This record gives sequence, structure tokens and C-alpha cells, in this order.
Amino acid sequence: MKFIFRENLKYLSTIVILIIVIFISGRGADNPLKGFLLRMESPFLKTFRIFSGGTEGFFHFLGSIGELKSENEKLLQENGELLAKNALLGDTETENKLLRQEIGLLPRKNYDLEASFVIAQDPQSLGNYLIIDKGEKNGLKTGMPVIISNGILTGKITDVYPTSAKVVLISDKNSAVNAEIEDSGARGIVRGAYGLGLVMDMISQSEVVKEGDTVITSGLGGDMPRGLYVGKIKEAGQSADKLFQQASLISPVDFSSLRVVFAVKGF
Amino acid sequence: MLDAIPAVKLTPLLASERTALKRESPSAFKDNVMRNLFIAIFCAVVVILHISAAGVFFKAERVPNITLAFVISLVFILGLERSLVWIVLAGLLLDAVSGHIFGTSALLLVLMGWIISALSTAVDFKSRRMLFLPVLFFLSASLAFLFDILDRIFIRVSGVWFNSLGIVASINYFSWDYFLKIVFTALFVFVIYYLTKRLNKFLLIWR
Repeated sequence: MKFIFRENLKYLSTIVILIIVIFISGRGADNPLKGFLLRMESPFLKTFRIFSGGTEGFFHFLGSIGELKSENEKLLQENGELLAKNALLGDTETENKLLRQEIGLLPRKNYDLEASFVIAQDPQSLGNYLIIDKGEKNGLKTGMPVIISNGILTGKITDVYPTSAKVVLISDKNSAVNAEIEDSGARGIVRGAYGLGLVMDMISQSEVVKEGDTVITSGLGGDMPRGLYVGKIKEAGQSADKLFQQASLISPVDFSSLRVVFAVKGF
Repeated sequence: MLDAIPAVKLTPLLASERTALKRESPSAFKDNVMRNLFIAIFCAVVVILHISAAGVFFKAERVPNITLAFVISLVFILGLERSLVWIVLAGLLLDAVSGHIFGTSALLLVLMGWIISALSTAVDFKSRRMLFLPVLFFLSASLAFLFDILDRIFIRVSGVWFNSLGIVASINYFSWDYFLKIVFTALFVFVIYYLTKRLNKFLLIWR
């Protein structure tokens, strides 16, 4: 027994030290050390991520050459239809601006955005959070929503370090976003489901939920602006024996291939 | 000509050996420092690849546990005692990015290293040439699976202990994505194992 103990002394002492570190960290004392390590790693993470993105893009391009012709034809047709719609909407926009001026409303998308690169993802491969390359020094704070280009909600900042921040995606099971269905105004909470899916929960049984309905953030709670796009209803799950309805959503965001996101610093 | 060059191995020295070497042969001590530097850089590169680049090439649920693959290879080549420092370093670098309590990944990786070391002492894998590759594959896959199970248990236990339990995301162990993750992890063990062996040979010729 003594011989075995001596032989394993180094391993046992390492384990004991690590357990002590875990106990100290569990009490919330790990942030400075974590922040320091992340600060050291961030430049390398960003460099590797950008180079990998370029390499992956090149191989993806090679693989998709065959599909390019048909995709090109489809896009040309879609472009034509959109130009026509755009012309019709031009008048509507002018009218909208005038009316807003009349009643003193702010322009819709008046957000203070901070563009950030995604430099790392969840190493446990659940795909539920990202690390971005902006942090406290860039004015980011815990709780700020994160979107991609045209106002599509992606996640929320949960931890902030000097030069980086952790963004928990809306597909994470711990995430809860106050949302509403744009047409009917039915309110609920959007949570992450298994894999990278979304579910809208706590919808009143009296509300009508249809496939294809658009879901946006409701702005309740004040932590997120109203009107950020969340997704479309895929399947409504009305049930007479349950207190609330539940519906599955499809988000247009490919959470596994995010490169650039925008943190909403002010709205 | 190659025989005239003294052998330089990648295996770093223990603390007592280092002290004796520093006293008796300063140039050999410098070689040892260089070897440790190589391993440290290799360790950091592997962890950074796991955290940043792997997510670009693999779907989120299929990202292989490259850090674990590194630990398995290192323990096979250097033994647990000599690789303990690098295992802890890799774990702490991983913990800086992961959502775990700091130190958890390092502890899990040390446990995995201990298991490999115990198994390879009981069964001398390297001597069984034909069986070595399939055994290494099977062992790596099993350890990757065990790592994920222990990881979930650690999260739940630490969540209850520190009163911070949120909803813990579950892994679907019977999905195609998870199966591929295990397979990719085992394949990465081969890549890192043979890469490390080549690096060892390169150092041998370079000096």
C-alpha cells in the first residue's frame, strides 16, 4: 500500500491541486485567471479561425462548382422579382417616413452595433456558445443581445472579459427569449431544444399559431429591443390537456458557421 | 554518419534528472529546455485548433475532442509522469474557453491519462504490432465516450455543489453525429501519435 502510494504520489497530488482549484473557481474566483488565459489565447484563436474559414471556403467552393450554374439562374430570376417588389415598396417607405415624422417615432433600426469576429466555439461540441473578439474594452456588457447582419437574433452575451466575450446562442437550453408572433401578437418564450433547434413555449391556448408565422422579440423585460427576427413557426403543438401551447421554430441562422456577429450596445 | 550524431529523444527529463544534467552538462540541459518548449508549443497549437479551427471544418455536434487525442498520444509516447504537466496545461487552456468551472477539463484529462497509463502497464500494447492500431482505435473511442459521460456528471455535481445548476444540455449518445464525433476523435489520435513520432525523428536528425 505504501509502495503504491509513493509511486502514485505525483498523480494524486496533481489531482488534489486541481480539486482545490475547482473549489476556488466554483466560488467565483476564477474570472481573473480565465480572463488572462483567454486574453493570451485570443489573438491565436482569431488567426486560426480566419485562416480555417478561408481554407474551408476554398474547399467548399471547389465542391460546389457543379451547383453554381443552376444556383446562378435561380438567383437571377429571384433578383428580377425583388427589383419589381422594391419599386413598389419605394413609395411605401416614403409614406412611412413621413408618418413617423408626424407622430415623432424614432427610425426602426437605430442600434449602436459592435461588429465582432467569432474566434472560438463550444469545445464540448454542443454548439451552444461562441467566443467573440470584443470585450469590456469595446464597451460590451453582460446581457447585451447579439445579432447578425439584418437584425436576426443569434444570442446573448453572458460573460465579458477585457478583450473577448462569451455569447450563449438562442439554441442553448439555458437561453430564454421573450418573443411574440408578428401577425397575431401571441406571446411566448423561445428556448433552445436538442441539437441546434428552437422551441416557442408558454403560448396561451387561446392563441392561434400557424405554420409559417414569423416570430420576433417582444421587447418585454427591456433587455432586448423589440422586433429582432427570431425565426418562423415550423410546427404548432396545440394540445387540449396542456396549460400552454408549444411550437417548434426554424431559424435562418446556421449557428455552426457564424463568422461575424454584431453586439447591440444600445437601442 | 547518422551513427556519429548522439541520440536526442523527445522525452523530457524529470526534475531530479534535470538538476543533475544542468550541473554535469549545460548543453544537454539546453536541449532539454528546447524539447519542453516544442511540446509546450505543440500542446497550445492542438488546443487552439480544437477550440477555433475544428468548428469550421466539422459540424458543431461532430467536432472531435482533439485535446483528448493529444493527451492519449502523449501518454503513449512519453508516459504519464513526463506528460502530466502538458496534460494540465492543455486542460487549463481548454477551461479558459469552456463553460466549465476552471480546472474541470484539466482534472478530467488527468483522469483519462491515468486510465491509459494503468491499461498500458497491464497490457503492453506497443509490443503487439498487428493489434496495436485497432486496440489504439478502440481505446481512444472508449475514452472519448467516457470523457463525455464524466463531463456531464461533473457539470451536474458541480452545479449542485456550488448551487449554480441551470439546465444542462444533454448529449444524444445514439445519434449519427455523436458516433462520427467518436470516430473522428479516434482518428485524430493516429494523426497526433504519428506526428509526434515524426517530430521525435526530426529532432534526432536535426541535432
